[in-house]
Amino acid sequence: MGFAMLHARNSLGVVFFPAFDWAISPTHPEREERLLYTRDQLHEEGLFDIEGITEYRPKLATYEQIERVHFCLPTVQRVCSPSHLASAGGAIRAAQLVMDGLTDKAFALVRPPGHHAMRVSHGNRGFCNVNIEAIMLASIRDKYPKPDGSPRKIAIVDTDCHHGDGSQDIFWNDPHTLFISLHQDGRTLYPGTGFIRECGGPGALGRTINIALPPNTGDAGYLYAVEHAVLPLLADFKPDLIINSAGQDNHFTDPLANMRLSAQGYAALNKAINPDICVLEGGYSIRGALPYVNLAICLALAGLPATDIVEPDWTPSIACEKPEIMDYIATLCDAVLECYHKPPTHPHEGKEEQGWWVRRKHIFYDTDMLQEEQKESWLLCPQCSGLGRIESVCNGAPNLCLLIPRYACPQCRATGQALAQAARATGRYAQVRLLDEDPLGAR
Amino acid sequence: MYLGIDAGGTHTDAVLVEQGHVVAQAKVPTQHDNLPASVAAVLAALPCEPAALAAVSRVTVGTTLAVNAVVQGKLDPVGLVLSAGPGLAPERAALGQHVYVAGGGLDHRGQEVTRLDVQGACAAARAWVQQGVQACAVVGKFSPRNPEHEQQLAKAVHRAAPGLSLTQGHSLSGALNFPRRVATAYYNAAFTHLHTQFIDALEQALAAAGIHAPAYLLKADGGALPFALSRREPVQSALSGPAASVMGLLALCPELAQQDSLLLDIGGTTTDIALFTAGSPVLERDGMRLGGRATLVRSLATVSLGIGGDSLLHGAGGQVLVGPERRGRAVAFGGHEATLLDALNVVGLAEQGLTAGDAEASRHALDAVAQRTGWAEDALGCAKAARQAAVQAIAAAVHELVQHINAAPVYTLAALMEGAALRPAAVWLVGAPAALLRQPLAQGLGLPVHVPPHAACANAVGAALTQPTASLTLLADTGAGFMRVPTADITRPISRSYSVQQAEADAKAVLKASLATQGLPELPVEIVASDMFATLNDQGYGSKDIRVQAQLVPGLVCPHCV
Repeated sequence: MGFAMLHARNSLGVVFFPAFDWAISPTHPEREERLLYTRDQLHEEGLFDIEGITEYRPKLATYEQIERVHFCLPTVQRVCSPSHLASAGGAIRAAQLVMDGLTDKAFALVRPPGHHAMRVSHGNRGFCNVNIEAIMLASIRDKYPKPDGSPRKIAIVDTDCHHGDGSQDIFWNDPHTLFISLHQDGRTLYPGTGFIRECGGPGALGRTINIALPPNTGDAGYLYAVEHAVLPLLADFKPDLIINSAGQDNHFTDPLANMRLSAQGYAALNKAINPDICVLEGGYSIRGALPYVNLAICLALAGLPATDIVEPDWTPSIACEKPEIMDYIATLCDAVLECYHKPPTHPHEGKEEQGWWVRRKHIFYDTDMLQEEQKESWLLCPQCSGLGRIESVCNGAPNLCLLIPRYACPQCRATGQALAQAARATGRYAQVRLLDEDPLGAR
Repeated sequence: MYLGIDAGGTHTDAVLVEQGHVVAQAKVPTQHDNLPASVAAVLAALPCEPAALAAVSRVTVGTTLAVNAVVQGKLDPVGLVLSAGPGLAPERAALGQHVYVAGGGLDHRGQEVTRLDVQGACAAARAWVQQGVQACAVVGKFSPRNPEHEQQLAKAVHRAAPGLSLTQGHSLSGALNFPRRVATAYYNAAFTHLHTQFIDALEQALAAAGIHAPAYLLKADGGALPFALSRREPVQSALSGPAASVMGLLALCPELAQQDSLLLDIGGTTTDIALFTAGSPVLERDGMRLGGRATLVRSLATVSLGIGGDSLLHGAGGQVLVGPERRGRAVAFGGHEATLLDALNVVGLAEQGLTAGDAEASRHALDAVAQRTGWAEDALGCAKAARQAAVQAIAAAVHELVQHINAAPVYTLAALMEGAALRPAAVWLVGAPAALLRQPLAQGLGLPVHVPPHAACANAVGAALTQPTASLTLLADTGAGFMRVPTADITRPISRSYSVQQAEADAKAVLKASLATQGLPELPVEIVASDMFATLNDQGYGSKDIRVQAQLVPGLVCPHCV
């Protein structure tokens, strides 16, 4: 094996920002030490000396960029610390590398993560305050519109072991984003959601796909699900861009979850999905998993073999998938394809009220110990995906958040503006927010 | 009195410096196949009394030994023993024909993951000796975290094959980068024999000239290394590159250290670009390249661009381009084809500015070029286009180098919010065509450009006056209860309350102690990086992981003290 092989087949930009001076708390899994050994491993392997692999620093995101996605309550400054600006900024930087053609692929190897942060954010849940993939996507859609003005189709494959409930919430009614989450079954793990019946809002049914894998799924099970569910969906959706929310708590050493993926398995998964951009999400086996999995993802993105990665705690028994797990996954994959191709006519919860699809949600912020009550409504519009309306109560007076979706019809835009004006006049709400996802409409 | 010698690519220069003045200087052609003879020749050519050489109190030599050896394939074969553990296969980083991978490995914290097996390495070493191999390098992954496996392998190999010279990876650098450590140790081993011969011959040449002062080699990072130390770590001083010129300019223009500055050294064939900040030249982040492989040998951050006074003018797509080809001197100095210098002369004539050599000859040459090629209507148009092309290429290279330095990764919010550090505020321009390019470069770079008075042998002055440099990494783990400086082979027990401040003090003390052995106790050792991580082990017990880097940056002896 000569050194010549160490020439990346795809050029790769790694936006690496371990935030060595930030922690949720000194003993929290999301602490300074989290990417320390990843840094050591990547440097010791000489990863950034491989021709075609380049390390980049993030740029801090602006509050404006955060608020292109989120309703941060009470203020964006209260919800979003400099650490969040750095990790969101790292994801945006990764997207720019690819969109500007500087690199073929990019990996935002940043912390803190974001996929549990929902459209309305009052604070931290599941270690996340703001959703860094969603912020990245908004920056792509804002800054790089397709020349013909048609919607850019983007697929997010979330392989974090926990259900990406924040991303699901944000893309719930977005027909141009296919959100696929592969996670450990919600009956056995936080946040307890992510079942197949949760498949999108009234304007985007079948564009949210949940693949809830049984505990103890390993390399073979994951690869089966990717080959028999994820890849067929991607082939049909034909996205312009594929993003992988690359959480690493599905590793066999993770202390918070129960899956059995290996670093080599993750590399194979990544190779199969072939994403343009990866964004680190969770993963808290900071010594036993992250150094090797991050190395594996970098090599896979660069188109280099990762089959020689040795992991200290791995034994052949870990790779031994139980037949009943494989059978379960095979049945699951069929159901997933059915859900995408023949989605139900109505969302799984809520009901129609005067032309709106309405559901009530209770959201618990496990880190910040907040309780939020939401009434979420989508205008049932024949022209576009429909105006969104969220009433949010969290320790005090209600807030009203109105979302004019990208590519909204003029009717929905006008309705949104009128509703905001009327709501402000009533004085009922602590805050009335209006977010127009169309960058031109926002001006 | 200090003696500086720089054996460069074309010439070998020597100067004697006394009380801030060059009291003697000489220049002879470099004999690439016999550098010690070049040194003897330049000493013989020094116009001074033999007594003056006897009064020399320090001598520093800059060489290109390594480059020549690599190019000419004169390196010794090396037996390479690697050990790895978790992560990528060690074979990815291998070099040469004689490689053995030993069983056993450490993880990123230096903890043993698999037990070391030395037997195979011993057998391999004995076989290498049979094949005529005389040098061996032992390199383990994560050895700066814990050198034990390397040490055990080295000991075993030495017992099995006592004749092999041995290099251990952790002794050369405390930085993490296995492929670079392998290359650094490999070249160290491959140079050992050649370097020993070279130093022996140099010592003889110096003694024959009546010089018995402490002798140093110039390193690529602008520092000096005592001969004795260089025998152990030949790779550190095998190539001085542009370090002599850079340090020479610092000696001749101390003002340039007062702000972030750019150094442009425009020679016949190339333009070398270096940067200064906080009074010393900027170092490359990781280390220099040798024989096509990246190493951990520290070097100055420099760029060499194929544009010089003798660079040929040529055209592509109706545009005038400059260099990188050179086919002899400019027409103004007796050459046969128009070069950048000729173009500068033509502009100088037209604008009543500076010219060099026979400017009329330059104009005829450019006239001919304009007529023959049709790149421009007349000689002046052609010359201006050439000048513009050169300035643009230099400006682009400068921009790229500054960007490269400022793009250094940052890993803390504090550093990220601080932003880019280096902003050159002035340019120092040296070399033959310097004066002719001052004005257009000032415009092209948007910075004031200074042209210091021409000083022959500035490179040798730099060699004469440069101070040693040094660096080390200290690691401490309060949980495991030890602190370690891998390059100094120091491991000491520490208490659970060991702090960053103690680590910084220890790092400085170890570095100062190593400098004291070179007779240099009072140099400004600085802490470049200092990190403390609160860590939790799997049982949830907390401890501290401390990493401190200390260094002595390149600097000069006070010229008036010599």
